[in-house]
Amino acid sequence: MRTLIADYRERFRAVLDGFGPLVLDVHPYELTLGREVAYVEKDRERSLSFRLFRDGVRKVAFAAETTWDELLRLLQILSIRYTGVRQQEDDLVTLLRKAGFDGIHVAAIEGFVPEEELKESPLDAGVLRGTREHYDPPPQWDLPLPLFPEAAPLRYRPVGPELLARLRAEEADETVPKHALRAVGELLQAPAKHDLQAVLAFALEVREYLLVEQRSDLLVELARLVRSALAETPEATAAFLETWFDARTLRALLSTLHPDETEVPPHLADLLDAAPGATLDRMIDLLTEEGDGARAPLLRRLVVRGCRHAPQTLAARLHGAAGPPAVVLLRLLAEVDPSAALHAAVAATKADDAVLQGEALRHLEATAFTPEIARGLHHLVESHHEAVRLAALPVMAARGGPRVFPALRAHVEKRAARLSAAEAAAAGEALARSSSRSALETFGEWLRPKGGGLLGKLVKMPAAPPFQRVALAGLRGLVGADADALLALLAEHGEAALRPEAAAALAARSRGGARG
Amino acid sequence: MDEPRDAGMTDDLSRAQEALARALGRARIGEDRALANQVRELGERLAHLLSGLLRMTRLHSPDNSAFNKPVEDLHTTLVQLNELLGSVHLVAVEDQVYVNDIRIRAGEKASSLRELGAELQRHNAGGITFHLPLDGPAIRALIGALGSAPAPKEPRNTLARALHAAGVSGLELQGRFRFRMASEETEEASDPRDFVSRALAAADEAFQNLAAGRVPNPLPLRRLVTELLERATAVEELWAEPAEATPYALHQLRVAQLSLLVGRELALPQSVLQDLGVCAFYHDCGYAAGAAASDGVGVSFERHAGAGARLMLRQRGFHEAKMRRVLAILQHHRDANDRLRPGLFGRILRVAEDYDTLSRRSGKLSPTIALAVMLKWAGTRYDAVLLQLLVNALGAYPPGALLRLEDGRIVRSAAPARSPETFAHPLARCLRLADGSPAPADLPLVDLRGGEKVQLLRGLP
Repeated sequence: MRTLIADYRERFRAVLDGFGPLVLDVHPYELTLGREVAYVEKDRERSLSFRLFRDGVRKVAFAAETTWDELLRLLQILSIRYTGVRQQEDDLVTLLRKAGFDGIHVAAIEGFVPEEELKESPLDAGVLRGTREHYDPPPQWDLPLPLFPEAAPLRYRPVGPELLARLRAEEADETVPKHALRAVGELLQAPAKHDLQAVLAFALEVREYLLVEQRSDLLVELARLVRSALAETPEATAAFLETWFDARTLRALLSTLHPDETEVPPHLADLLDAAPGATLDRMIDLLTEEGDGARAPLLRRLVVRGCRHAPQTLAARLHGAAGPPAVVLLRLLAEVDPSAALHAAVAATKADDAVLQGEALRHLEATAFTPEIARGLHHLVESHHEAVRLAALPVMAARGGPRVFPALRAHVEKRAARLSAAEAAAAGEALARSSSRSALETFGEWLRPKGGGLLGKLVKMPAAPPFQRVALAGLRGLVGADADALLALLAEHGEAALRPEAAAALAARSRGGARG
Repeated sequence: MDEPRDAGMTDDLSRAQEALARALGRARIGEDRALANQVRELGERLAHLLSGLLRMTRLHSPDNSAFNKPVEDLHTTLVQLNELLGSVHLVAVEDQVYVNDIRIRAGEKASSLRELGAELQRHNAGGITFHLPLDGPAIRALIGALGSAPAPKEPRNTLARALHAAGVSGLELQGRFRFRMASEETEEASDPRDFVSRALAAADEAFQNLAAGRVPNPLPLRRLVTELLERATAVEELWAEPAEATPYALHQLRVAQLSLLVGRELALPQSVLQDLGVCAFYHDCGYAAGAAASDGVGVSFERHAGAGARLMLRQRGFHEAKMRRVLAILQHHRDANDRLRPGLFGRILRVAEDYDTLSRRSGKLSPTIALAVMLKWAGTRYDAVLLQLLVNALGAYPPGALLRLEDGRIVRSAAPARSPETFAHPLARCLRLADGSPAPADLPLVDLRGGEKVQLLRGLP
């Protein structure tokens, strides 16, 4: 946008400085400079000339001394028309007049005037205009006036320029936001309360304006004004604040706070406390949007603060959340309500969402082991996401010990065919860590030949390669002659790729034993 | 070496970008998109239905059952438009059609709009104003009359009479129009009497629409204010009291003129003057709030300011002009030294309003005396500076002041003061000659710059 504006300025300057006045004729699809076509666009949706022509502009003339300020004002007016914003208050002609151009002249259709080639005689009033509704103000409206018993002589008295400037300043552009606030305040004080909703709708319009003007200071003032006027009807205040505190307002207000702010300013805290649950929801939205951004800590503080009044909001939001936002919510819930966070974490273990399951694991890992936690960990071990399974296996083994061994073994036996090398290793280590004795027995069952018959003599290694990989990883963490024997079995009869690893493990143990 | 200049240019661009974003932001929050779309859609429907019905008259008689559905649709459309806009003005000019100044998009049906314009032109008409929604029989009568051959002489009047005879009421046929360019001076546009007549009609229509519960439509009034600001103030006809003027409409116009006199003395920017003028046209609209009440009890003087401000809220979307209207209307009867000091617009309206009421409506004080008694309240009821600006602008003998000259002629001040030097020497219209006989209407205005002594009269002897 900056580049386009710079281009607009530089090109105009170059033309006006180099060639003097510029007169462009506006046609439906072209702008022409004399006989030359300066712009052509046949697509109505994209055509500047079509829109200008449609708005009644027929010629735009730029004097050589046209200033940048004027060019910018023209750009603003044309942009408003170009974007299709239809205003009730202005049309192109009133906008151009307001702009008070010196160097730019726009010839535009102002309206229509009678053009009677064949004049006709005036008609009787009854024929000319039919009956229509007609209302009158009450009789003697605005009367009588108060008494004016005395008079003063009339004289011409010049008024000094400073005094005039001071009066003009009362309606300068920068006063509009304060006037807007005053208008809301006075309407709220006016006796007729039956149309309170219309006044509150106006207050929301004023809020829109303050947002456009980036007047966060007055936004707060506006809310306080309405609150104070509605002090006797808290439900009306709450309803207003809920609408007032939309995401844009919140964002505007928060942008005024320093990211390192440790305390929420009292005026904002006060309003947030009065705002109902939807505001908290919007704050949570902002926080999740912010992710790890600079304002995340501040937003977190605000949400935690807000949750004091509506702790259930977070849990409810978490229910349908996924991915990083869900992680943010779960962390927040842990700050606000650890017990609810734990239930939520267990529930999250069933979500098909690696990020959320990872966060759930973090919570379960830090909590005392209970059957509920065991169920959660089991869900994670069975997750569809390998990363989650890899992370969950050691935690489950460490926290559950021998109690979870059967579940771990069942998991391995169920998934063995699909285990990656990494997961097989993790599973073996988890089995060994969960219960070394049960692990040895299990590995023995898998690796030793079945029975002493012909089959036992022929099949030296009954376990399929995935089981061998799990056993190898587990055996590395186990000590004792039984473990050594199983490693030796693997080194001699295991899958070709595993034999060297098993041999290396055995060798390492012998070296360790010799040193020991 | 170029760094500071580059930095300056970058700042300029940043400011430009920000200004552009704000201008668009302001425009967006100022629109009532739903209403605008509704009016445009209904307007389009009206134009296309009317055109379609006229085309059907080439094949069928208007009482044919083939007309039932489109006639019913047209009636419904007129009812809906009437609820939103009051009088519906359909105007065909060149190849365009407008409904209450909104251009009807032709889209695929450009020929349909051209045909509608051509059908009207056959009858030397350029538009139709529907003051009331026509019912089915009236619509059939209208399209039957429009579809039939035009009269050889005065076809528009003949058509109007035929419709009147057929019992069609609430409808007005307009003459033909052409586009007027913004800078163009036309006889009609430059005729101040025409301007006053249009301004009075617009002020009345604004009141009628508010009384009927409709949304304010400030754009026509803003156009009038823009026009008023381009006119010289010292024009006799602008200060005349047309016989057909309703007291309410004339008061709104007069307060607008007086407010703009003060605003010009203040050298307010054009945009602020426009807003001030529109405020003045609406300032007493609060009386419309109770005008339609079935109990006949209107809004009281005490309530009309608040009621008027709330009527302005019917217009949706934020615009600073609307906000200024709300505030000014709320404050326009408040004393300048009130604890809740009124804003500039409120104080200007108060001065202008009281002056017009005292000098014209009360029937007791001449314009000069009205200003003089108000001056005693400068600094209390009235802002002393603004009142002085009004005094300076109107002169010692404001328009309407009756004076007896030394030679016995009786004149009426015709226009505000032209300059500080002519503060007490206005241009005046001679009403009675020295011998007491009525003065011919075509006498030129009397310039009292000669410095002759004058006697202020309360009324014509």
